[in-house]
Amino acid sequence: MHELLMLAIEGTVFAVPTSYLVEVLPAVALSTMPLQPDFISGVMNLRGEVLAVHDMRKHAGLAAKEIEETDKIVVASDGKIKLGILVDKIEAVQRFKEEQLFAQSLSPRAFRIIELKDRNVLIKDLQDYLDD
Amino acid sequence: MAKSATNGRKTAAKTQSRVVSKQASENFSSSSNAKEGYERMDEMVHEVSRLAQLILEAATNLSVNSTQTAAAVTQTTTIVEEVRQTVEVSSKKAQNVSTDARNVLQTSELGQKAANDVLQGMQAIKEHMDSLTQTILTLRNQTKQVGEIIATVDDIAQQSNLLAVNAAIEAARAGEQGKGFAVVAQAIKSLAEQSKKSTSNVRSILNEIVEATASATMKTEHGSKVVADGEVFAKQAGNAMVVLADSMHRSAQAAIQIEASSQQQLQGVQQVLEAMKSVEEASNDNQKGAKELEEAVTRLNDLGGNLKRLTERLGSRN
Repeated sequence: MHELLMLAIEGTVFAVPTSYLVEVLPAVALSTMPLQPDFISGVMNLRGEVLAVHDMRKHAGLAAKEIEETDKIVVASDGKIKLGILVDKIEAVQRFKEEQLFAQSLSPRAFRIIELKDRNVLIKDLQDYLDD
Repeated sequence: MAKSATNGRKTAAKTQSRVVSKQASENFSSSSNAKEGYERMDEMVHEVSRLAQLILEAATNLSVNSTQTAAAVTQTTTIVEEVRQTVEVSSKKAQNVSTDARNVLQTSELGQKAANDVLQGMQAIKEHMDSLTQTILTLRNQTKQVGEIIATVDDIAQQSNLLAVNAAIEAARAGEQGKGFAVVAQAIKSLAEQSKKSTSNVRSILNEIVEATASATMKTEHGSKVVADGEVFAKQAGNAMVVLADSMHRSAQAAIQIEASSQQQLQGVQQVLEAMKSVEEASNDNQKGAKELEEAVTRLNDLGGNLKRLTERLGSRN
């Protein structure tokens, strides 16, 4: 059984396994840092903890955009570090059976999986996710 | 001319008759010679005959003149009768015009009243339009408030949705023990979605209401303009009616005066006609008198002739 948080960036659907998830927040104004990487939107303060917020648009190869009120920040953790992921829209937490995901992976419009690895965000095809 | 000639003859006859009577008195006082007496008588008879001739001429002239006068009087009477008929016709017409003018005056008064009523009606419509505009304005404000409430509900739905997602994440983290909680989170999420759908429905209806209100506002504005124009027109019509009624009033007064004077004219002409009839009668009497005078004088003339012949016979015997 796979539990995934479905989210969307400009109509394109992504999913984050709930094992990475901490919480989902409404978007807040971010502070920028000198020499911050291109794919980082800025940093935020989550109850005293400073998190880098990744711009999913940049990761997905889409044009940058100003943060809107309706945007959300998904707080995720790989057990070692926490980071924020800036997305347009949160759909829901969904439970999938293995075969459902497999069937989904065969579609040319299959959603992709967002994973965390080495303090960074990684986008994986559904097939690769299932192979792991 | 005839009159002056007659006068001349009369004067001549008077002078001669005086001379004759003087000679006669002288002659009768010395009644010694009868022959001389007859001669005098003969002269007197001649004179009488001559005078009778003169009177006959005058009487004939008088008869001719009086006939001419009678003819002229008859002609004048006929003309006056014709004038009377014309005056009667125009008097009747003046009466008709006067009656019409009175009717028109009443009608114009009614028209004036109607124009006033129209003006009052327009003002009432204007007031209603103003009230309508006010009502629509209130409706617009209330619609705005409803929109704000919907925005709040929408916001709450979104927060609920986020809360449900976070609850689901917590449930997932709890593993097997969190399964029940995951169901609750799912229920909260579907409630949030239902709220969102409902608010979306309400919003679309509200948008229709807003559009309808805007259209109603425009229409009432247009209506107000039309009503304002109508009011101006009604005012103009009312003023025109007042002017019209005024001139009607004057016309009616004039028609009434014309009727009265025409009546007086008719009476006057009737009196003239009666007078002319009297004149005609008198003229006829005159004519008759002149004829009688002429006949009498003719007889007198004949008598003079007879007398002359008689004296000549008497004179020749002596």
